[in-house]
Amino acid sequence: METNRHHGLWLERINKSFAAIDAIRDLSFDARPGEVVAVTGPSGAGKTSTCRLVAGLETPDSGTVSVAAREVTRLPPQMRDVSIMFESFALYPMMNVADNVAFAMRAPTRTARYNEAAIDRRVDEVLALTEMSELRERLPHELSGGQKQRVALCRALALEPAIYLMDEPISHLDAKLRHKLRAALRRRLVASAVPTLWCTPDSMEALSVADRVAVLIDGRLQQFDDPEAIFNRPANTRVARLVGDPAMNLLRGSLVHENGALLFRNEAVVVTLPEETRAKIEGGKHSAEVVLGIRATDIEIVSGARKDTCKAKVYSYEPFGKYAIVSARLGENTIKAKFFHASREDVEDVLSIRLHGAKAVVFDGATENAI
Amino acid sequence: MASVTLANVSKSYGEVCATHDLSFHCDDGQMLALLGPSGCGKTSTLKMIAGIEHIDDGEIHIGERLVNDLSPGQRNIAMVFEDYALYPNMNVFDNIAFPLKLRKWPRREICKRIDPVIELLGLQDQRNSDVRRLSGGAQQRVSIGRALVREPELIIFDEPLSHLDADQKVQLRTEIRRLQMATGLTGILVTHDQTEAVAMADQVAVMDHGELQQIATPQSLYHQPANLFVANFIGEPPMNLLPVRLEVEGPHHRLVGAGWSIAPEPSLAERIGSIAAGMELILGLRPEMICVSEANSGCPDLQGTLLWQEYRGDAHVLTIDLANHGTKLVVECRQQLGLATGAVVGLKISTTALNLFDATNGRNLMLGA
Repeated sequence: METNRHHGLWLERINKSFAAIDAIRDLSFDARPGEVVAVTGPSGAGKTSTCRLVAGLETPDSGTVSVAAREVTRLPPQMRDVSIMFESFALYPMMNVADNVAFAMRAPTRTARYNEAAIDRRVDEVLALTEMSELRERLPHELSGGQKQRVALCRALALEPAIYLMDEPISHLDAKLRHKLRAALRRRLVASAVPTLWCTPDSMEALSVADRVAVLIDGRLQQFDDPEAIFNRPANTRVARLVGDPAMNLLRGSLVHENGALLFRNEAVVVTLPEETRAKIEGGKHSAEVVLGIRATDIEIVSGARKDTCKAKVYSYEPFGKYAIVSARLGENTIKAKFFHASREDVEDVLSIRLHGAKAVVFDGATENAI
Repeated sequence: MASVTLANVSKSYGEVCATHDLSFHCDDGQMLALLGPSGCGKTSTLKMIAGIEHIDDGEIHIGERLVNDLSPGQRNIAMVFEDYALYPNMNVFDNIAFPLKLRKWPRREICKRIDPVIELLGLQDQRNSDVRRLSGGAQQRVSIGRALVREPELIIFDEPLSHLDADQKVQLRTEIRRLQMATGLTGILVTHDQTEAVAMADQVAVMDHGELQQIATPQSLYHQPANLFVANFIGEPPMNLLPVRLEVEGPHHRLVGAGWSIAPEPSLAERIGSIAAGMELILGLRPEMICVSEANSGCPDLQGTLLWQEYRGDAHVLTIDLANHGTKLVVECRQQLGLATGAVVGLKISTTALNLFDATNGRNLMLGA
């Protein structure tokens, strides 16, 4: 075991199949002490399986799991010092909120660590964090779905484990409470100085809460990077489709050189690409067909058609107060543009738009990987 | 399609008042969203419009007709539910055709009516598919198709997106909006999610505890909320609500908070002075109306300490301790500023669009009489 790597979580070349289904394939990533790593991806991607493998509820077919400088791959959960919050809550129906939260601390393997006074203090503290203090005496059947979720969250937070595993910890809460809790939770988890895995199908939640994000699709790791890189430089079109509100627009076409500049072109649009992109692309090989990724905020409506504009027919208009999203048909594609000062557009109106290539991402048309 | 008008509609379930003196109007060809937290009365209102519940008081008109005493079947409306309610043993075509088959339409007539609807909903490739094999979003589109073929006067959508995954929600939200705009259908949508209401509706009726708080376009609700409830409910992140009082010294007006104060734009100052004198006030500031900079650059109106920041892709949401007095201010920035937690920052507030509320009754004082 190398002694110069951190004492957080290390997953190395994990493979796991259930019957004929490959749930996880060749998964490797790490989470440093005090770091929140979000695991995100669509339903069925393998997020919960990853949590269960780290917890010891499943054993991998191959590969290793290490926590706090110990290899734990074949150890049962109770020997791994993990704290898990399941998406399905699993509250004890005959115990009130306070006792549910305290339960794990009173488990036989942990009594050495927590006396009753310490338990009471920690229970009070986590209940206050999730705004559940007044519901301390309630029984689970007297709680709403969101309240039950908070109790499960408190139970996981009350412990001081070697790693926190959170499977969709705030998904059933309303938007305002999610917003409040995200920040409060993150601060507490980071201050704990142990790693946290935070699984969520909501890619924007992953970006806002994590230090690094692992994007899983169909059991394979697509990209493991900090949030800004995932958002602005997705590794492939699958990641690009998953991230953002709205997600990146993807257009098929080809690259051409014209007057020393690199252009993207298809039957409906031409986009000038910046010098850095030209240099990067010229360095390597790629297919004739490419996919251009353009963010919704890099599309501009201009009055009147000009040389670098193209025509798009409005498909839908959604005003959100501080911005509006216009969906429009551009040749074969439907693109979404996000405008911060929008006037109402009617369906079937034809707009002149300009696509800005400065932050566009070019993907290979065959492999769908970023060039 | 027809308009819908509610006049002074009240309904109680025993002791519990579901709606109180509710009045609003939805024009023919418009989508109206009923929005509010759980328990606000939106679902009861929907049921009364559909005819599933009786009204205690008031009148409901669909088009020109008074429908108070008409059964749901007689009202010529169609409903789209949150759980699709499709017939599991039938394919897409048969599900959509069912209402017409019930009325014993000949096959050729059924096809003539349904084919354009299937195309409108993008279901051509799934025409003969078993509905159980479809994604949630596709199933919901079948449900909408079934509502459309009946050519009702009104379509009611009851939390249509709540069972869908995030990406399907976004897609179907756009689809429903497009459909509604392109076909000119009159729709009433019930939802607790303000993003959905704002995306899909021409007008939004915000409700709380059985009472209508405000009915307006999404833009108006956002920029000119009628009261504190609407101001806080619409917009993500929510509007900052800061207690202040007005201090006047000759021609100078200042809004004074805990450890901080600002001077409103001269054009607003006089107006504020005349309506807000001597009142306990709450200043409403939208997160994107505040500019953050490093402490000593520009001429900031205020200062504070950065408590934490959240990356949201297109924007950064910063939480700031205003004037280091414990008041939290949420600011949305479109650029990355490279500030560290604990950094002292300068804040510039755009005072051209202030919302000032009466702290005792929550009313927005800037909206005139």
